[in-house]
Order: sequence, then C-alpha cells, then structure tokens
Amino acid sequence: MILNTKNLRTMKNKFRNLKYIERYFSGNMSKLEKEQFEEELCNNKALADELFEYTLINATIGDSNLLDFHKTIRKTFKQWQLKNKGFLERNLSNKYLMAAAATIVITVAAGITAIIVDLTRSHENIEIYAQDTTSIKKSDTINNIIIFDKQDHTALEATEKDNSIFEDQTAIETEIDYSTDIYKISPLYTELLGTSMRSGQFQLLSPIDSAIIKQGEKITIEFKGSYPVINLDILSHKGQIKKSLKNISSGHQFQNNLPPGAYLLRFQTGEDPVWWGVVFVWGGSEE
Amino acid sequence: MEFTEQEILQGFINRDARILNYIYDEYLPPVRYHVIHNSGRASDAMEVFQAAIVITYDKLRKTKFTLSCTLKTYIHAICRNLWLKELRQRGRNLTYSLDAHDEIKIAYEEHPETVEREEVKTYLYQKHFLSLGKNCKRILKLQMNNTCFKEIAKKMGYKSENLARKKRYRCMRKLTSLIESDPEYKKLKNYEE
Repeated sequence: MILNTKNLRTMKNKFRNLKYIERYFSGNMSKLEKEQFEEELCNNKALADELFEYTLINATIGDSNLLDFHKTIRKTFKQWQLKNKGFLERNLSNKYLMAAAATIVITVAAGITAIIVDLTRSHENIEIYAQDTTSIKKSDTINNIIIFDKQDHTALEATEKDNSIFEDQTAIETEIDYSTDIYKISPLYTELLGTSMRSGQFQLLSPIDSAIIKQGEKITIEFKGSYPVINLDILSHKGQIKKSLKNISSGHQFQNNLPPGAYLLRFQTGEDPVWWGVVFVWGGSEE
Repeated sequence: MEFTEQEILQGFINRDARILNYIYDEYLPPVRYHVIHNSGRASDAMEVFQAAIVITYDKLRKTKFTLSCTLKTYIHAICRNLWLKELRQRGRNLTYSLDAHDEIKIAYEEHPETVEREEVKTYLYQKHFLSLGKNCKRILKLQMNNTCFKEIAKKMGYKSENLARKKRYRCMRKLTSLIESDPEYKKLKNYEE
C-alpha cells in the first residue's frame, strides 16, 4: 500500500492522522510506506506535532506510577467530598435529635408546671407566700429552658451553616450559569473587589466574599474593625445602587429580595469606600 | 490531627489516605479563596488543586523527592502558577491578591515554580485516560506494555488479533477525541500556536 501523502498534507487538525501514526508505531507499514511517512514528517509540521503528541500520550498512559497516583487522588477527592457531606448530614441529624430532645424537655416542663399551678391554686388561700415563690421559680425554669433552647438552635444552625457553606455553594454553583450577563460584573468594578481602602480597619466576616445567597434568604452582615457602624450600598453587576443601608452595626440582618445576579457590596464611612465585595444571588433550581 | 512535614511528605509519596485527606482539608481552602477572588469558580479551584497535586508528585519524583520548602508552599506555588496561566489564556490578569494573608502569593514569591505545558498536558492526558471505560483502559495499557495483539486478543477475550487491533484503535481514537475536545487542551494548543 502506498501512502496518500496528499491526505497527510491537508490534515492540519490534531490527531487526524492517527490511523497512519498507529501503523507507523506498531511497525505495520511496508518499507516504502515508512520511507514516505518519514519524508512527510520532515516537511509536515502538523504531522510531526501530532506524532509528538501521540508519543506523549502513550508515554503518559504508560507511566503506571503517576497514573496510579492520579487515580488515588481522584478517589481521595471523591471520598473527601463524601466525608464532608457525611459530616453535614451528621450535624443535621444531631440537630434534629437535639430539637426532639428540647421539645420533650419543654413538654415535660410544661406538664410539671401545669401540675404545680394546679397544686398552687388549690392551696392559694392557705399559702399565699409559698405560691408566689413557686411561681417565680417556675417562670425562671421555663425561661431558662426557652433561652437554652434558642441558644442551642442558634449555635447548631451556625455550625451547620459554617460546615455547609462550601458543600452547598459547590452544589449550587453547578446550577448557576455564570456566563449569563446578570452574573458578569462590570470590569470597572472587578479590580475593586476585595480591595481594602483602609487596610486593617475593616474586615468583613459575613457574608463571605463571593458567597452564593438564595433569593428570599436572610442576609446577616457581620464585620469587625475600627468602625462600630458602617454604610452599605448594594450595587447591581453594572454598578447601579439597588439598596442602601445606613449606619448598620455588625449583626445587622435583612431579607434578601434581590433578583438573581451578581451584586457588589460597597462598605463605606460617609462617602469613603472601605471595602468592596461580591455576592451571587441564586433564584433556586427552578430557574 | 497534626503531622510533621516529614510525615506529610512521606505520606504524600506513599499515597497515605490520611495524609491526602489532610492535604485536601488544609491546603485547598486558600487555593479556593485565591481562585474565586481572581475571576474563577470553586470548580476551577478544585481542578487547579487536583492538577497541582499530580504535577507536584510528578516533579518530586524527578527531583527524587527533595524539597527546599514545605509541601504546602510548593503546592500553593504550583496552584498560583497554574491559575496565572489560565488567566493569561483567558486574556485576564490577577485582579486581586490578599495582602499579608495571601498564602498563595507568599508561596509563589518564595518558590516561583514553573509549570511546563507538557506537565499540564500529562495531567490532562491522564485525566481523560482515567475517564475511559474499563476495557479501553486495559487494552491501551496492555499495548503500552508491549503485549502483542495476539496476546491482547487472548487476554481480552476477542476472537481475533485483528479485532483486538480495531478495538485498540477505537480506544485510542476515543481518548484523542476526549483530549481534543477538552477546553483546557484547546487553550494550550492555541497558546502554543
């Protein structure tokens, strides 16, 4: 068989000469074909590149040591993702268990309270002073249970949120189409992101930069630094002010009613910007 | 759990699952932060990190596992380099660097490890090879080990040597088309040309 070198010359795209290269490599070419092929190699850069690439691929997949390492890394990564997911699930189930336990405690406490109230009422004419004391203790107990319950839930929710930020955001990120205009920040602002205008005096703790926030969710602004209160402007991806919050202190909360898209957070004192950040509002999977 | 640098390096080389998990736990967050703050996504950070780990392993093998800095610094320097390359290919620059807290920046300044295009290609080739079906991987590996087609046919349960040859060709074709359609590969090729 004689090689059609015209084909070889015109095939500029990568790996289009695979058939010939394979035959060349496996020694399945006749002497004449081999000579023609090698001559072509000298004059056809695309073919020479392709041959080099082919050699590299073969060398790579023949490198068992590196390949095994690569395989282990991919496996570890999957396990690592599962491990984090499992951790989150455990936290969730702990949360439910704690909530159930708290409900039982409250129910039992309420039952006991009702009995105490009945007993107290039946003796109210005889032991007025004792009744007052019991009711004070009783209300203290209930308040303590409620306070404990609230604190416990807040702490659990915070832990769950902390642990799930990464996992959730990675999952949601696959839903967000960053190529759509609403998620593209104007280049005028990109360079400002993360820029601290007065270094060291302001640190944004929440929302974390580039956070993905679900539409309708509450946003908590937490920061630390030299400013007890600060002004926050939320700007659209094009830089139009969508929301302005004046003199907010750390821990300030508000409902996120912004439509899906990228938003710039501009923290400032008076008219002087202190920090620029970005968040992504996600409308949910139905988008 | 804390490990000494020696334990980390040894565990990394020996593919110790505990150490590899530790590396993901401890080394990945700054990379993620760096990539996200420089026009990337979390998924980009993951890919950069995985590539950096494989490239680091490959580099360490070649230098007989000697390092002049910590493994963390080395991996971070590779990550920064990879992401810098990626941004250049996208026609962008690093837009943001975390001041004193930027572990990646510090790592890179101390150890500006270069990543050759061939090293990135090696990573991509292997990535796609690993995504092939079981039979394809097996047949390609067999041929790489200089097993003759007659033997391959026997081992793979094919009726003839010719069928083994065809199957092998199809697998190679599949692999090359996977590589060709990889956007990273396209970028690398465009950059070369």
